[in-house]
Amino acid sequence: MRILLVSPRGEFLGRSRAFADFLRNSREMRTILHYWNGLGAALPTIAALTPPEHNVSIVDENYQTLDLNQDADIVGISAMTQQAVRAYEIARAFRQRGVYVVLGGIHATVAPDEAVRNVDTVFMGEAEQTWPQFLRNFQEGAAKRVYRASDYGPVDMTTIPLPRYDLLSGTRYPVVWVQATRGCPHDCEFCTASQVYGRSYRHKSPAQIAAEIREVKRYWKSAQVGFADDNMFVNRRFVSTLLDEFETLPFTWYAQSDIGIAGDRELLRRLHQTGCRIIFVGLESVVEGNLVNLNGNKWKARRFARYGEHIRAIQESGIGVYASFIVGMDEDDHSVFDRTIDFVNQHHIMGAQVTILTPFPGSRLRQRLLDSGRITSSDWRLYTAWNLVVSHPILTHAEIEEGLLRIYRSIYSEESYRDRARYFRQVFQNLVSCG
Amino acid sequence: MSKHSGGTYYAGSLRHRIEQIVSRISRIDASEFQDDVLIREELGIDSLMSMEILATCEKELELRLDEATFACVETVGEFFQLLETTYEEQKAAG
Repeated sequence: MRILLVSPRGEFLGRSRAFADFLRNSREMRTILHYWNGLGAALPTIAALTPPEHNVSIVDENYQTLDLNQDADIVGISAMTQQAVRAYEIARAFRQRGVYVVLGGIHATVAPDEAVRNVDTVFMGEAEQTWPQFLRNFQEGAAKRVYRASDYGPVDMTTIPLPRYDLLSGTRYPVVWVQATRGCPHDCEFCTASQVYGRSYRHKSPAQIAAEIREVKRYWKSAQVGFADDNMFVNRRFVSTLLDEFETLPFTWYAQSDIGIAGDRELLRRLHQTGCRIIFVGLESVVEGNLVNLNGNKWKARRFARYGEHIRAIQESGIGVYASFIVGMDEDDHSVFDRTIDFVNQHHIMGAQVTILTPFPGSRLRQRLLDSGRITSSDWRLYTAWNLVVSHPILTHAEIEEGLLRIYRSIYSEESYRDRARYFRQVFQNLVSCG
Repeated sequence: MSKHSGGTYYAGSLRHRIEQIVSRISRIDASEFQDDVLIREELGIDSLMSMEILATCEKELELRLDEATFACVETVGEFFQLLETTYEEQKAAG
């Protein structure tokens, strides 16, 4: 069979014209945006799970042109929420020609009732077990409308094959996202990760991850390696063995983690030594009240008072913190914008991603805001986390958009850049003198 | 000192020493350091890594550099040229 896998074109930023102008004129933001997307592991992994007798190709519409008249027996689409509308357009075009279309990924997992109206088969959750089963069923003429990962149990990640990166080797990606672990213990109100992967924390084997990195570097010598995992360093024994593997791998990398790693100086030292240069940390808000109801155990609220100290510990190890903040949360008032600017600048945070509170389908946040009638748009194209799609108790739409722009203008100004450069120069002078 | 463009270098030359520092910090093989390669977009050396490179050059080469050094260069060749020129000027000034 000819199987075409597609990542649909998607918007990843906001539609504010003023913000677009700012992005065009900010050198630092242009560099950040260069590394914004890249190649994820989903479709290369699906390709690797496909038996070799089938002919598989991948089109990443964010980097390539998709021919809607292409011949295929099955078109498989993977989409996040902001790609859903385009995913359905693609599905419609292929289905009109009689091609069988399936949809997986985050959006299909959290909005299966909508997805099933637009495609022939929907995959909910991890596809490592359901995709091969679907292919067998399809060939027998008995494909189901919905395949649920939960019917098969959690995937043993050590059995996941090496992703077929070779299928996209002709495309120049600035960053390739590798998946080493799945799961996050925090279950924040706005996040859908636990809906997709469940609460159990799992990982690939260190040797398996090292093999993936070698494969990535084989095809994209100059690409950065980012780990797409929601919280990579939860299992410290696994991380220690993984870093042993990384000692001999010539690459630098980025990862996402909670702020809890700041207390482990030896881990931070080893992370820097093995090439970790940036850690993305979800701090979420500079307003403590926003963190209290974020997750059941108030994990982030309990660490709020020590955020600054934790950031310092990570950055003094030579690893930059790229912090994420959300504005438009319920406890925000007009001061949130200046407070965010002050926090980022005061702590010399290497980079910050500030987004607008977005009720993604499948999240507890969406249900709460639906119940209180506060969702103003369910146009998925706006669900990039850079557009306002909810009403706020105090702040107007214009105030949030203008405030967000003010934050970016300040934290990515020439003055802030110079301040951070001086700070990190001092950090590295200290590290170099300590040998 | 002459400027080399992506060939082999005689060990101990300033450029060779700078290359070793950049290679150690970026974990990129020095053979990748062709003059026309874009330092950020193609090598992935960002502002954070550049500060580590500057601090290490200061320590190992006794070179005094401004934080803005990195901001004004685009290619590997421009970066090495700037460091070499700065080194020569500071050496001449004593």
